[in-house]
Amino acid sequence: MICGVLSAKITLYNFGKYLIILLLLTGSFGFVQNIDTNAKIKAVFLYNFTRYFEWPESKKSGNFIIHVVGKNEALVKELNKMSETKTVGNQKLEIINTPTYDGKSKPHMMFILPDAAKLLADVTAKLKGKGALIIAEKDGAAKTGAAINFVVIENKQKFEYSKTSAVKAGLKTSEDFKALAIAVD
Amino acid sequence: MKIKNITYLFLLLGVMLSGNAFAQYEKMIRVQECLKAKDIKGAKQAVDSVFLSKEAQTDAQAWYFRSFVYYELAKKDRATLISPARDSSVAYALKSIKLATDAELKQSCNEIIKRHATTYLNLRKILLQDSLKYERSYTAYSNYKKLNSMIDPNADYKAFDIEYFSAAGSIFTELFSNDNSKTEYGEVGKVALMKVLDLDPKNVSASFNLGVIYYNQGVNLINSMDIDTPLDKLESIQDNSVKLFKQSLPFMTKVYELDPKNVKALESLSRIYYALNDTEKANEFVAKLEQAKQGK
Repeated sequence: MICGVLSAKITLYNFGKYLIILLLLTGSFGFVQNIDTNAKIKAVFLYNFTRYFEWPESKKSGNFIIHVVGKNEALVKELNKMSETKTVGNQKLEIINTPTYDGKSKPHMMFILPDAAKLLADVTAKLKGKGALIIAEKDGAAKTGAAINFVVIENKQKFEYSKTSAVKAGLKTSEDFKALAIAVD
Repeated sequence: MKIKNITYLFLLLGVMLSGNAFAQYEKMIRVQECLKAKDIKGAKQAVDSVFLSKEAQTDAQAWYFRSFVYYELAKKDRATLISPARDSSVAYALKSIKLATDAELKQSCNEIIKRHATTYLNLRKILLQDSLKYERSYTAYSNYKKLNSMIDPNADYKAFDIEYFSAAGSIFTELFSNDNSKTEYGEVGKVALMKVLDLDPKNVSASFNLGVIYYNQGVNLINSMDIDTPLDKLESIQDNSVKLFKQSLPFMTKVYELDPKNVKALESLSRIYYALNDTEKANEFVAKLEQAKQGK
């Protein structure tokens, strides 16, 4: 019978049932990525800072050391990744991460994380005049020894800059850099 | 009339035709023979020639047969969204329905239209699930609804629209979650999920997936930037990512409001707030997440 092919029925019920199966098969939820965006942003900031300062002659050879004091695994991972491909001039990047600072390393950059913020005064004293750019992430840190202090403004990471502290540390910088920062002096 | 024997209809047509009835009858017999021999092209030629006669233009049966022959012809287009044969078959069936006085003939025409609707329904699935062509899948689904409404004008599609757009949204959200370089998938997911929320503002799954898409798009912007991105560019990347994180927030908050113990929503909210540099709120949701995990 030629017209027998017309006997198939479609109903809204069947259609709905089909789509429910489709939903179950595909899963109804996506997932948010487990990536620390703040760590990546900070790593980009740190690498940028290497371009805006001039370190003393005594620190223009050997590895370019970034010492991170405190705990932030995601940031250290980003920095280590960065050190695999980037250099500062001819200097290779070396990343050190410790919970405290014993004064043995001679870093070009010293980043004191929030959980180690109480060490700021001690670290600043130990590195005074030794050509280390001290970076912190604590309210008021740029006025108490750090040359750069990360702050959050309108949900974005920005940084305060104390030229006085940078000069005291033996670093030279440009006015261009000051224009990019929130100057505290 | 449930059509069970086309011969009966051809005979009936023969009786109904007047004037050059015999010639027309012969042509219809030819159509029947071609169909039996699976010579669809021959059947098309024969049935088209019937319409050279003026009488056929107002003959509901003749239009039904033409529709049926074109339905057979359109079978080769089952995997194709655009099919002139399918369109013609539908148009001829509608013409027959318009002219028909016989309820059974109308029912037979409706059956043809239903079959074409089924084709669009199948295409909707193939294009969405297998080919990931949302626009074309949506066109197929729209065509299905258009044809189905011809035979069931009171059909309500709201629940089925929600299910369809939820399925499309879920598929594309998951694809985007698995490969965030496929930004086009994220955009398709957003369009589909927004439609779900238009229809069902309290749909948890759609809200969650929209939150996921916006958040992941924000993460993408940051994750894909080079380490030596200049500070001015970094500022603009942060502007855009914050915008996306903020767009994600209301959708995920809505999920939390509708389902305060939803572990995925709590985890996502802690991440969104962290990305927005709001550590206090991020920690608040981490604590709520821990409580939810402990069943408190």
